[in-house]
Amino acid sequence: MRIPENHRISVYRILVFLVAVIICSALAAAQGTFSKPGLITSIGQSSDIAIVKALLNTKLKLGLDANPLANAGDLDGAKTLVLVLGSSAKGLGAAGINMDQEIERTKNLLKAAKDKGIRILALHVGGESKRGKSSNDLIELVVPEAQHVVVVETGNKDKLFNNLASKRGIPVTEVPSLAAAGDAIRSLLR
Amino acid sequence: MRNETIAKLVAPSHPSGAWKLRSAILLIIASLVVFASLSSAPGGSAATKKVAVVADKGMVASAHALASQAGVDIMKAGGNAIDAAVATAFAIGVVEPNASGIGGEGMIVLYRADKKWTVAIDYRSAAPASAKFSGAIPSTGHAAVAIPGTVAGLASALQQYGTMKLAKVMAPAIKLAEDGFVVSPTLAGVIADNFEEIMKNPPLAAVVCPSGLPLEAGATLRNPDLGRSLRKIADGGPDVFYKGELADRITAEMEGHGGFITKSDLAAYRAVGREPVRGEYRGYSLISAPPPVGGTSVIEIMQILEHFDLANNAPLAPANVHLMSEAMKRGFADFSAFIADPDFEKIPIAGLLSRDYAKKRAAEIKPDVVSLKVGAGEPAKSESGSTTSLCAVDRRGNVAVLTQTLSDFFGAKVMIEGTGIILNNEMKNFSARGINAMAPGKRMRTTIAPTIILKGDKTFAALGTPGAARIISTMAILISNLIDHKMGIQEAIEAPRFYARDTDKNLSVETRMPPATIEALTKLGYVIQTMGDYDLFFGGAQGIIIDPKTGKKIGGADPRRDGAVVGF
Repeated sequence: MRIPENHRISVYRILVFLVAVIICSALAAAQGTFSKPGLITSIGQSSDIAIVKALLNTKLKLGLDANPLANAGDLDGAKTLVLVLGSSAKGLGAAGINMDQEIERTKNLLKAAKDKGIRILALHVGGESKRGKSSNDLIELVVPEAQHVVVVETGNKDKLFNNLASKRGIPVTEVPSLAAAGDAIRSLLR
Repeated sequence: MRNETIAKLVAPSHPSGAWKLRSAILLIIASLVVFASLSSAPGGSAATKKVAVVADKGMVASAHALASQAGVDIMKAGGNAIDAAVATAFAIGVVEPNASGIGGEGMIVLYRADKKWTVAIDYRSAAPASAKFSGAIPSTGHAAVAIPGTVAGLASALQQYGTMKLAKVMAPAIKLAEDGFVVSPTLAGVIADNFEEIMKNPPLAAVVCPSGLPLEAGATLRNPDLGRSLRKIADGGPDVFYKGELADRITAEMEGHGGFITKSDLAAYRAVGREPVRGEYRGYSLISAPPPVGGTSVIEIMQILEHFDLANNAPLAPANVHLMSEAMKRGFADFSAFIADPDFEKIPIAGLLSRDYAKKRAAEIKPDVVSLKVGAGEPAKSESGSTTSLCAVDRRGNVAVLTQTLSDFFGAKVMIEGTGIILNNEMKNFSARGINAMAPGKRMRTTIAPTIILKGDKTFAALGTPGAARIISTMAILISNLIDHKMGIQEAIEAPRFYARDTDKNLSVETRMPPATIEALTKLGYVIQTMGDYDLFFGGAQGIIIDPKTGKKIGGADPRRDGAVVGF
């Protein structure tokens, strides 16, 4: 029996729609995933990188490399760069660098990651008290270049991360605690 | 005629120009009167983050609401200011475990209103007899620990000047340790900042990082081992800590981990009564903590500043910031050169506090020259002498103000297993050589400077702050804010701070410093280092003033920490 013309057109449209959905889903999935090997580094030299290392490697056993002072030359082989945001004058002093040097290092890292196709995951685990001017300057530098942001809610009461990310369509995952931040990152890392 | 008389008494429906002018003048005068009355009230009128607390009977200001409440509860139960201060001091060691505790030390300054006398109790820690270092003194670990003085000092203050038993005033602290308390964002931040070092000490990590991650704001921190330790002291007295079961635990910990404290060190430790240091500033008497701590330097700085008209400028005018910075540098230079343990070194206290010496130091200061190198003065020629602060004032006007510490946050990053006691790291506060070099039994100097201010024989204010080296500069700023600029206590505490010293080319300022001031100081030659808006770097002050007219207590607390005032 011959299929009527209008039915053939409907089936055709349904098929096109399904293919489009499949393609979009694949693209979305690709956008949301981060792959290993990963490298964790500090942006601002706060002590939060030690906490993130304990969270991601000791507790969740994700096996990421960590170097608080990673520079562009340390990115070889990495597919994901986890940037732990938070500035500390004490940390900068202990590292022997000043804020200008840290900003320069950050810019170089961002450029190198972009050139090498490394995906950037921006992470902020500090609370409200960690959101001083220096930290905010670094946040404003990094977030627009990230592919995903994970932030503990106590450090995002002013929704700075959302405001910065939304301008570039960057997804933000806001979590209630450190443990939840770890779970969010684990789910993003494939 | 009658209508004309009535017309003079009643405001005309269409006022003449002269009437309008009279009305406007009266309105302006009334407004000025209201404004002046608000401004002159010790509570002040400027907008502040926190609100000053006013109370009639008694008041406690400390770095934590639960600790302040503990002190007020003791006063409500009939205790005096000393009872309240001791209760608050034990409690703050539980709820602010990073900044003080029975593993630490401090200094208290007391004023007895009925007898009008003052006394200080030195419960600074002391070097163990066998302490020896081939290189630099470490800042973490068991070797960093000096003989703790808190238990001896607080017990001594209570026994001599309080009215209650130790068990009663320690009860609030014991309950807080056993039941736990909610971690504040400030404490969570400090735990996070010290995470790596904390994790190296399993007993300490078990309390503040129980799941292998730092406790976050809103979590409950319990320290039942500390509760048991406090209960033993409450029941058995300070000897439990210095000669008994806790002394055994401390020395066993030391022996097993390279520390120096022995049982004989602990048994020999004494809190020492000392005469507070005194000075004058624009008609007010300043009474502060004597060597080996920073009160002398605070008074010296204020007496230098008395030679300049600070009140004529806005508090943060470039001229004022410059003059205060220059005075601070001289105060710090003399602190480094002359302040040490008075039981070991001869200290020219009378010279340092003499007005003649302050005049000489003031003469060195030029309004348009930044001193890049400031040396110690010659006070003998004028001879004729990781921290928390709290104050308590009772209904009789008795005052207790103390500052106590572990030195760094979480001290040596060591907790004695099974006791909940976090140990200080005061040994690093000795100098490699000179007047503050280490010696067996010697007390190292620090900058703490709890201070009482009198006007005549009446208490005007009680103030204190933590903040490491910034204690001296912050105290100078607070005193000037209150006396020169007539600020209320809360406004004085919240006003932007700055810090200058003899060995630092930078002038550190909070971001709220007026841009015009920063620009003018930069042109003068200062290198400005900008910190946060309300930066913990500059301390976390607490203060109580007493309104001279009404006798009301007005308390202020610092938003830079978790400061809280409770009154009743």
